[in-house]
Amino acid sequence: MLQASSTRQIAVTVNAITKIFGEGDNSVVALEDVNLEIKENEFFTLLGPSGCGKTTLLRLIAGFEHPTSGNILLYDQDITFLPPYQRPVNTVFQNYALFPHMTVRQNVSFGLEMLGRAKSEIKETVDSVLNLVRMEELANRRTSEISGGQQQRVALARALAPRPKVLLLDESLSALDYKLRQDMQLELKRLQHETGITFIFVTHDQEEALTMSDRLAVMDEGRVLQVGGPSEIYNYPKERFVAEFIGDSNFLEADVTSVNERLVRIQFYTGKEFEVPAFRDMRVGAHVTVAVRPEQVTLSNSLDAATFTGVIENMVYLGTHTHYIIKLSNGSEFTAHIQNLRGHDRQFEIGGAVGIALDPATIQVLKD
Amino acid sequence: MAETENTSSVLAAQSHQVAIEASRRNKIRNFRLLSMPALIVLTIGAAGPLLIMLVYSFLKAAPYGGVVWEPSIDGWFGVFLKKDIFDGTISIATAHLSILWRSVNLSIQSTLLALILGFPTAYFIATRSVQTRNLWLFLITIPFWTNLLIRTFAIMQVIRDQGIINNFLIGWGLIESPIEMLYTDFAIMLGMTYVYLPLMVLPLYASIEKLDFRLVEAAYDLYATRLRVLWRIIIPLVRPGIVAGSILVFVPSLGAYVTPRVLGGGKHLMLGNLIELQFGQGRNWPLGAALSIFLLCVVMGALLIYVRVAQRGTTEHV
Repeated sequence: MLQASSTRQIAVTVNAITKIFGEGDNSVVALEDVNLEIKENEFFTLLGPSGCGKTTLLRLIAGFEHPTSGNILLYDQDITFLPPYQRPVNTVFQNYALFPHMTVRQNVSFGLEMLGRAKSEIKETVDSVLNLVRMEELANRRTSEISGGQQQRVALARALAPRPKVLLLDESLSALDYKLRQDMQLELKRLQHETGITFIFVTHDQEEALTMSDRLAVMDEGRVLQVGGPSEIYNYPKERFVAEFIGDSNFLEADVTSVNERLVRIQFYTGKEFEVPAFRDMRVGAHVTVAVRPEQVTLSNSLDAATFTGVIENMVYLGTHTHYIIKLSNGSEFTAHIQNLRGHDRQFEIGGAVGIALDPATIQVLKD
Repeated sequence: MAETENTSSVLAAQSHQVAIEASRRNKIRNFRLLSMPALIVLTIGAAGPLLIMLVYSFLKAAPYGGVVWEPSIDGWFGVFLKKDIFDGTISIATAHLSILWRSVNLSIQSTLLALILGFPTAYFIATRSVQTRNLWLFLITIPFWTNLLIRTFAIMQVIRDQGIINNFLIGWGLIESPIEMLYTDFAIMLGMTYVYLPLMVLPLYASIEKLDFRLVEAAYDLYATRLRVLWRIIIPLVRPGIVAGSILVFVPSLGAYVTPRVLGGGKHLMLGNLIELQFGQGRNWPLGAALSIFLLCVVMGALLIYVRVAQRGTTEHV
């Protein structure tokens, strides 16, 4: 599986892209030395908070903006400075941007008409694309007469009709309500599978990114922090921002006590030591931050064997899980999500002392 | 129990409906009251004089101007036909028709020229930053501050035989003798375009400013070149502005008086001048009145056709 994907061709290469808006004192760095390789047929997501530069990167690939430096390749072709209408790349806009003076069919036909395709071919393609997004019955409606979800489908159909090499989706689901959004997530995956087109999807919703992407890039302040598959990003966040932005994490301080080639020993304030894989140069005595997911710890009443001890400050029962907020003996807060098992309820109580046990495999050492 | 509850809720809903209806009617009444002053001014200032004109057009001309209160259709007869003073033969009033034709023709030309010049101007202004926009709009309205006659005389200075353009061209040796521009149809057309250009730019600006430029981006993204984006997306979407601007330029052009008088030199009459002539030197008020009503009908007819055509375009798409 991994091998198969690594032999896939690279569809989009983003090469050392920097984008600066404005000049002099008013200039804003939107993207800083961004490098990405997006593979053919991949569902690739750019994930980050608003203002992280993900939409700017998308607009650079679409051709609405030009980078300050660096270049963008589509397969082997340098498209950095090509106008949008010369790139085989189409966009599904955040607000859909459907042409209000045209019907659904006219909207979907537009790209093909501009490409100068024959009338019969246009009709055939538009019919099949409308069928693909299940909008054939509303083809002659005006875009103002259809619902938000339907507009979303039309926007998708319009962008897919010219069969672009890459489809760009700019926060395309964020305007939909929760249920519709989940339907469209599945729909998008299906469309990507059926068309075989490379999708580049921009979102600030980490859940959406994890469920939909083959790979994702986590961005913040104009930089790409980490690129990888959903489970890789979730389980092995390299930086604190990534661990914080995706899922919940507990951050703990530790000291490095010994270093050998592959492993380092780290010691928590409680004196407990763990051996964890070293992924960068670490000296003995160095200070590190580690991340631990709340659902990957165990709580027990036996305090001696525990890594940390603390007092339960609050607990929230959520059916499948119970969330515990624990005040550690050094005063910091620790969150644990423990699965509820029948017959084991009421094991812990607010105000009660509790021991937290860590598994070395769940400890992720972060870059400073 | 359930039934009474139902009926009471229905009653409540109904009374609520009635209350809404009543407040709406109240609002309408208030609006009527508020619009009364304007309606009174319009009635006295526009409908009244029109009615007088209509009545005059069916009366007899008094020898030294004014009317004699005797019903007659001489006025309307004179609009379309003329009687030879010597042998009394009746023929079509070709002079009037050619003036009508010139008026319509020049007005259409001015409107088109104003559109061609005004569209890029309005587009330019609408795409500036908000502060700069206001400055540009201010500059566009500056000509309104100067008297129309003075502006028209200024154009005269530019295009006359010894004017700026001809002097410049002769000075550079590009032409030997001056190009005759003043006192031609061209001069009238140019003058009207200049005078009414702001009336084209302002409604165009208002509609371009409302244009969602993300639609323009979407069209670029879908392989439309700049020209095609203009033709397929921008123009259909700003059509209301184009219609409004064209009407605002065409209507006053058709009835223009000062510009054709000054720049046409009296040789090239337009309907406005012809009407003035009948009330002045012509001493034929019924004919003047009939011509005025006739002009009104031409304008209304032209607008009706224009709006019909423009709307057909919109109903196809929007």
